[in-house]
Amino acid sequence: MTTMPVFVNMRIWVEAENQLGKSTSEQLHLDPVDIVKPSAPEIEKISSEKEFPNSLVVSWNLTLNPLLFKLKYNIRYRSASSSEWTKVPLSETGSSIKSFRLQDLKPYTEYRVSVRCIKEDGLGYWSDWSKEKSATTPEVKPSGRPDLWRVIGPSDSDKNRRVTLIWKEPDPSVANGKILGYEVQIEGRHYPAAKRFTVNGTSVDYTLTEGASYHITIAAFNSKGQSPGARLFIPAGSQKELPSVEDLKAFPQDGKLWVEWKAPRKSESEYVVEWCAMMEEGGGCSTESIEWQRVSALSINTVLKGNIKPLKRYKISVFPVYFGIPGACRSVEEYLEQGSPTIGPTVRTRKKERNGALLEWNLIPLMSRNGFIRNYTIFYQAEGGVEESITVDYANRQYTLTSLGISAMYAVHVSANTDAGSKNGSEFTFTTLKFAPGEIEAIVVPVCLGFLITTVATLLFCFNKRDLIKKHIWPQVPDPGNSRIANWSPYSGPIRPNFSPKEQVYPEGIITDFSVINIENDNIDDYNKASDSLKKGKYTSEEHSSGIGGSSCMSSPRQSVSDSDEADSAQTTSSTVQYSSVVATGYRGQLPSAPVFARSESTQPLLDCEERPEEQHLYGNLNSEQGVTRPSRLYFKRPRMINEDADPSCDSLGFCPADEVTLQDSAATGSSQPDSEGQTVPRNGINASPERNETKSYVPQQNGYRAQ
Amino acid sequence: MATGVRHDAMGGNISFALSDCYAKAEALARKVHSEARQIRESYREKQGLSPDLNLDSIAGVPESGTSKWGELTEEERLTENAVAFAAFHSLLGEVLKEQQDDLTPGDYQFHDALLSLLAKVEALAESTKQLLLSLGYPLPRAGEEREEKGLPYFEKKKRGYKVMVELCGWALRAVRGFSRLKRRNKKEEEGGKREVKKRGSRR
Repeated sequence: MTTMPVFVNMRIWVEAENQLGKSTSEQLHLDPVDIVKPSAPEIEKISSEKEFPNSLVVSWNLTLNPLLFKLKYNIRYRSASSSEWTKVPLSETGSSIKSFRLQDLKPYTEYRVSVRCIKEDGLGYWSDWSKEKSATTPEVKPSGRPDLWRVIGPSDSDKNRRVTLIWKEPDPSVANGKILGYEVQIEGRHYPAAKRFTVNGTSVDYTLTEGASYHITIAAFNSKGQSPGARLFIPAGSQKELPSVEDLKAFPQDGKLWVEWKAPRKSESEYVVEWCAMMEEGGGCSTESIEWQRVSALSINTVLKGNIKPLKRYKISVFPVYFGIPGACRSVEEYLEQGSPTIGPTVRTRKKERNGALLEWNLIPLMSRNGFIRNYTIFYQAEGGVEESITVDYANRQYTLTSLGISAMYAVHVSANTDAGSKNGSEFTFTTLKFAPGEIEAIVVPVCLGFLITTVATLLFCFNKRDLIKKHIWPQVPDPGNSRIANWSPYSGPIRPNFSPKEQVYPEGIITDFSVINIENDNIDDYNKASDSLKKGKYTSEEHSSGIGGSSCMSSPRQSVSDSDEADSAQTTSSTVQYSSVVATGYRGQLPSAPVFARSESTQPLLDCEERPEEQHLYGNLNSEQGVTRPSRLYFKRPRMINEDADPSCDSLGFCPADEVTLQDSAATGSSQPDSEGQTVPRNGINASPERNETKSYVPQQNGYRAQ
Repeated sequence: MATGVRHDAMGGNISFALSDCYAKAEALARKVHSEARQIRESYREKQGLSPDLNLDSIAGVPESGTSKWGELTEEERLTENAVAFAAFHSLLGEVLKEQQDDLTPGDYQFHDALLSLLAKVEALAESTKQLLLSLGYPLPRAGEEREEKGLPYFEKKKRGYKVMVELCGWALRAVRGFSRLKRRNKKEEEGGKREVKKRGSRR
């Protein structure tokens, strides 16, 4: 028997036998037809019809011979993405059907179907579920809109701005098919014609005029048609914006970044939340990196979906959208998770002081910051000292350390502190100054100034008192040329009225020329003669001065000498009275060697044309007396003392030198030497200081006078 | 004596301010009424609805028709107005959204007109509330949030139309109510002034 007989009552039992024995089960009395479990059907095909995107027709085969039994079926189906089966109600498949139309399916969805069967009367057992077969419902035009948003760029010089439209593909549940592209429509409010074009991706750039407003519509399309349009209004740049949200804040919670705000006045708005990872300080969101999501009108907070990375600063902006019109945006910056910075701040000194320093450190670049820097801590340590620290607010990146040691070396480093950690920067060593910045200058400058002032004051003082100084340094020697003796001549009248008339006549031989001496030899002969005669002279005492010093002196002593001589010679008639002697040997026994003119270094002869007027003035009647014919050479001749026993301080004639220097000069004029100094000597005021000396010198002369 | 005069003067100021408010509110209500009427007509045309459409089945729109308007107290009238306009504020928003999204997409002029009407209705709701406050009446409690049920397009159309019709009705009621208040306030003001004059003349 290969098949179980049916429609007969049967007794069925099981016998089990093994080596140990045999066992027999109970007996079942039944008609096998009541315990039939049909084999599972096999789904032949599932067909979809274009016209009915929500339905699929399932057809199956029966492996069992249907003639024997009538079966009913049970169909179950599920979408490929879900695991829950939907069973078709038995009432609909409760007959021997071979196919069934599934309905209310979602378009463009893959469904898996399986079927089982049982005897129509319900006796027996359900068959196993057939093998699943899958099929996809046909496409239909999209029923949902794309999600449209925009990024408005800056306006350029032509008042155009680049607007980037960005959108999200409609959800597959509403896409109802494969989205082939998007149709973009840009309608200017005042332009009659709309611009329409197709885009494949999910963003498009367009240049719009800033001054006009635009209605943008974007629809997705698949093979069956277009979706409803997503609309967006772009107001003109000059249009006043609708108010933004208020009290915007962002905070991390449970590993996600939350954003919260308060609704603006126009409470029927939706919201669009934009965010991006910031690349640089104060940077905005670029169209490539921007992420966004739409939030319904009833919410006041949302969590940012997408991949938010820790240690990155995100700029989050919220826009209210009022019936498709975006309002003003408000932004906030936040981290999902903060950390300590990757690099620390580099510190250096900006200005060093005596016991302090102005420190400056740089701003850590945004990408390395890993958090909001709340403050900086400055650590500083003197050499061999203890480390101290001070915390500074984040706003300033400068700080002045005070009360440091003078000229001490310090090591300093700054650490940046975020909410989550700190990072130390590199160390910097510096030495404080020894002197305060202005100290050196403050000391040197006053000293120099003082010195300068002192010098100037001294100079001024000297300048003011130059006369006095001159008097001290260069005492004036009376010009012999101005002396009365210069004017004396043997043939002239006595100067002193109490002299005897005899003195007028003096023998020759003693004639000495005191005024102008020419270089001629005859004068020199005179000199020699005179000197010879003088050698024999009897004037040995110092009281008899012969006015060697200067011509002015000469006259008086001459007089006195002559007087005294006169007195002497009163007894004699000889004319050997010597009144003065010209010492050819030079003053004080000094030979008239090369003239040593202490005063003038010039060896030029006095020029007649230039000097004569002064000389006349100074020398008195010297020139006139002598009748000088040689204008060029004017010499000042002074008698010399022969006697060397004279008082060292005074000459033998009793003429005491007023000044060695002066007299030395005069002594040197015995020879035919240029005597430019003779000019200077009298010029300096013979009548001035030398007169004092004259007076002195005259005193002994007085003594020398022999009263008659 | 002096205080008495001053008091009257103050009262005069208040009533002057109130009459100003009444006048403004009345003007606004008139504007809303005329605009709503225009939009109602264009809406009906655009949506292709017949003029004698039965709108009774539509729920959720405050109905302006009442036979007892004259018997209501001032407070009741104002309160009802405030409630109605608040409701219309949100209803009109929904209507606008429907129009933009589904029913008349691309008809930007129509949408702008609706938007402008919406702003006025919002203002009218606000000023009605302010009048209630200034007259010392309690504010009505805020209505509950209604669920947004996905209505089929035709239902949306009909509801939108009903909104426009009823809004016209309520605007008309508001006009009548505010003008009545204005008249009464004027009478009080004049009476007060006469009293002041009397007192003044007595002095």
